Amino acid sequence: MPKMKAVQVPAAGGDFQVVEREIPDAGPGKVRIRVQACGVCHSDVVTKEGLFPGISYPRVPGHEVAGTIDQLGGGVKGWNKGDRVGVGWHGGQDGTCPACRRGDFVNCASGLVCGVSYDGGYQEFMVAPVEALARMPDSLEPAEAAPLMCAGVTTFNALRHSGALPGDLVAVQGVGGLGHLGIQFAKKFGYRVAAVGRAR
Amino acid sequence: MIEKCPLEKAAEGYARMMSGEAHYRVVLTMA
Repeated sequence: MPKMKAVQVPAAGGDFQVVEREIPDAGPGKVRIRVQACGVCHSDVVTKEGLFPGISYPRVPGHEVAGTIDQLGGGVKGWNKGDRVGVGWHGGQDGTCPACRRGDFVNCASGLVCGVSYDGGYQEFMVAPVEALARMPDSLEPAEAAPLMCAGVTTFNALRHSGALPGDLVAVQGVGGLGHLGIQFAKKFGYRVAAVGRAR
Repeated sequence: MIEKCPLEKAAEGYARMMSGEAHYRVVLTMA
């Protein structure tokens, strides 16, 4: 079996390990992604320290994934090998629970989290359910695009649903992995933008 | 705005993220 490099957390609270693993096969309804880049999010602490109940270890963190589809599992339609995709925190839904029937997939009763429920993007290849995939334009550089899958969508949607109108004053508290994107989105949205950060 | 970090140095990249000093997102890149 061909091998790949992966970075895993061996147990809750354990140190990262760089390991060689067999390249996984995409099962039914899933695709294998050749990972090009993966953002490092503070929420990776969930996997590193075991903050969610029931995490199975060893586990590969990472939920800001940019890559290309490398293999299609059985029954997968609408995606092709070579397609550029991203995977974020929302790692899949059952499609049958009351929330899913309302189209509210993020609140799925048995929702999956990439890099928590299954191995995420801190590795050269990963397998994800098609429900978790976002189509990503080839024009985006992978390392620049990866953080948009979590940090980007979090700040973009917060602003989009805030009710603020162009010309309104928006304060972005914390100029970090999320805040620096929020500042840029807010500027493009036409707000007046105040950034609030630590003094140094 | 990102700081690239090779996959095999993920522990250093994670520590950089936790330090709060990254400008602004640490991103692991695969060779």
